[in-house]
Amino acid sequence: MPSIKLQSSDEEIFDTDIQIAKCSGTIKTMLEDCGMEDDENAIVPLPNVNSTILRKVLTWAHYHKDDPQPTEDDESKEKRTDDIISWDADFLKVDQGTLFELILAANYLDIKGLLELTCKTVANMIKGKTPEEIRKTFNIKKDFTPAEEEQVRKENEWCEEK
Amino acid sequence: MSLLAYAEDRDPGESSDTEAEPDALVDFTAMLRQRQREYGGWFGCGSKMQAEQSDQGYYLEQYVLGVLDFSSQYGIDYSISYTAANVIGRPTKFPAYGDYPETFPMVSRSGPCPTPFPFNSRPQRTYGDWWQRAPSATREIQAQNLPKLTTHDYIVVYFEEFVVPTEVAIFETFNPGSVVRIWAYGLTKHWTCLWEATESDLARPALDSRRFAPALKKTTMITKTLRIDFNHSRLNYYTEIDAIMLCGRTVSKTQSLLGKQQKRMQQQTQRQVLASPPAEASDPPATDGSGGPISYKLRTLKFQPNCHEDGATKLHDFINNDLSQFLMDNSVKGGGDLGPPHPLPPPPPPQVCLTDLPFEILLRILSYLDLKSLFRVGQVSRTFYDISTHPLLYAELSLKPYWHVASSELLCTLARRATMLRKLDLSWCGGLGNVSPTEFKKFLTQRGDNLTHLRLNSCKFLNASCIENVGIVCDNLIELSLRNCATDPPLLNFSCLANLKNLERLDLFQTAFETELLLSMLEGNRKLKHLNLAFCGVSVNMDNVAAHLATYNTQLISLDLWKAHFLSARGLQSLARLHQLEELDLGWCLREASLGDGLFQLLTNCPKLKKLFLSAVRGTTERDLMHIAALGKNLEQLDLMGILNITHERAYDILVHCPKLQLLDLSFCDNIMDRDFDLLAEWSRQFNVDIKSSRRY
Repeated sequence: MPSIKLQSSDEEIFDTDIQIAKCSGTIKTMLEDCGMEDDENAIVPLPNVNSTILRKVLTWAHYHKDDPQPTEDDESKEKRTDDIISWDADFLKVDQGTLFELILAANYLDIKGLLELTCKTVANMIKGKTPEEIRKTFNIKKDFTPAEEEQVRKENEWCEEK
Repeated sequence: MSLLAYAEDRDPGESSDTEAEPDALVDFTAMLRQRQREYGGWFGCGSKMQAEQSDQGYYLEQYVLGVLDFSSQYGIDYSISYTAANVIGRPTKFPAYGDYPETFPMVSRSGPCPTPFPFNSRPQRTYGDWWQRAPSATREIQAQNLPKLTTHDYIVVYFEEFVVPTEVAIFETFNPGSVVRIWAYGLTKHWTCLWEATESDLARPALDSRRFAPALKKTTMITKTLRIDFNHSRLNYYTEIDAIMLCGRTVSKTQSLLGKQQKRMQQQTQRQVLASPPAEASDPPATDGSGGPISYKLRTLKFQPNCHEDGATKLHDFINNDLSQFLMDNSVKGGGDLGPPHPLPPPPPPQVCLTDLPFEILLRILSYLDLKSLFRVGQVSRTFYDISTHPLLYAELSLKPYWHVASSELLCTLARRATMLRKLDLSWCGGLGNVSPTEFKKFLTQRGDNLTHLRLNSCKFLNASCIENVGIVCDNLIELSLRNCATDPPLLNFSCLANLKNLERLDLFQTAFETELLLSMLEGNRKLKHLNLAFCGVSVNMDNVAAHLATYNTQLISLDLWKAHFLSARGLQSLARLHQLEELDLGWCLREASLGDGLFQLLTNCPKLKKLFLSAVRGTTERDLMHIAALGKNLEQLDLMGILNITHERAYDILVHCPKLQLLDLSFCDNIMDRDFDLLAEWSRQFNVDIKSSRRY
């Protein structure tokens, strides 16, 4: 099977199966537009992804290489977040920094499946939490003025448990 | 003491509270009064039993006195009392198991209402996921709002006496296992969920009748009104409820007065706190009312120990529920006042933070949140408030899962945010008058013109001018769903709906409609693909409707005429000209002796037919069944329920010749039932078809 060399931001080279690399819309476009597909020695530089993250991304892409391509229709499909398979759940048992870097990488590399998965995972970390719990979870500072806070609280009265 | 009595002898001190939401009380009591009149005859049936009596109130077991509401409302051409009669009072069949007309068969999102006759009382399509596999299936709007176990149906019942609930028992006499939530309506005009099922509760549906009494959440609330939520997806066949029992300790007069006083005091304090300027309200826990009553009191009164009657229980309650919150709140406050904070070490900051992600990614993350979580995340910080109120996140809105908290205020807030609204579902909302028709109209006027989908099933706040507004404002609608929207008394004026010209789906299940208007709507909406007229009322001449459909709506894919009695063989001939038809429900239609060659025409001309329901179409002959076998190549779901003269040879033919068949309902086909019962089970395995019969295998 033809392979291709991907270079991370910290200049590590990853020999990658071309089909797996192509799950990234960005890499696919690069290969096709630059005619690099037949060049065994061509190196695709990925200056926005470091080696740790790229390794994770490729692990994920390898596991999901046989997934059907998501269609436009799926975009508007149900936004449920309880459909994460256990392999993915285990794969994403990482610290927040890594999770967010994976999101950025999936976004930059244009890997729809991974972007959706990682965003759903973050959504699940927010769901069902109180504002204070969310602040604690993500280390966010409350920066409302008292008046603003009162207004938001009023808008949210309906979702307080009674 | 009835709710009514309670409403009338409220003391003046509480009037301000009532004035705030006049609709709530008026509607509810009026409804109750009406129902009480209707069920007058049932009062004497001994719906309660009492044990010991004391000053503290006594333990009481009581059965349902009346039904206030359920998701699939009463059929307009049937007496409402029959429906309710089945679940009112003591169990009549329990512990027997089986299909009994004396029980309350669960109706469903697509099912009909129960009636007193053995066959009529049979709901359909309420079990498993058959309705989701049918061509008429719809997608939930804003599906991320749905709980894990969604509600398909509900019933609201009331009892004679207020109690502090300790047990709710549901007597399930046929296919048990669909109860997913039990709600109680308290004196504070709020619904409290007393119990919620988990996946494992539904994993193995029971095979025998049962008295289902799950352990309830401990509560001190007082109630006489319950709502039971049902989910039928795990059931093999439809379920039936014989009775519902509410047990608990009654509340003595003095205690309830005390309760009221306390409540009033609390409200006053709250009002004072709220009235104080925001600068002073910088201690958020004091204003947000979070935590239980004790932690609230501790905060406002600086903790004055008080050893009254059930002090021990309250203390226990406090230690279990509120202590940690109380400590947290106080430590937060202490930190602000007394210098260097932090008893808890902060988590090490990650290299990349959530807030470092670009706007469009945060927007995407928030797009997966249910509405409640979306609102809550907006309370986190300014940045998150801005993202969480982005119009793109409000292109679809469904308050159906939030029926218990949907209010005029919420609609008002949403109207500000949802400037790009396309799909709106307000089904089940407004049951207690907390959504005003005026606010709904205001909302529609602001946001209705771009709406493509609007679902207002079982909406309690709709009046004539609301519907008028829909017709005038929402002229881009592709889907309009008005199931169970007949109000009592009927005051809906639908004529403005004739303005709508782009409809592809129209659902009028159990909503009374005038023939003339319906005909003009059919003429105006040539792109109509899905039409549900089940139970739409006796006044509609279905043969005329069918003729109109054949002329103007040749794109029609699904048509539900369940119990549209006035469809004759002539109408069936017209329907046979709808070549795109994939789904047709003729249950209880065609009451004449012979169908002529209508069914043959239909099967010949509509080769795409996947779902055909002929429940109780008694004129179906052996020849018709042979046509089904010969022509129904694409049939997946076939309902022949109650066709008495069907033989096992004809059923076998159908199984052999309809290769795509997945569901075959042969219940109450007496000719088959008695002789060939074991055979059915064998065929079911052999052909891999789910064969339904009214008996257990």
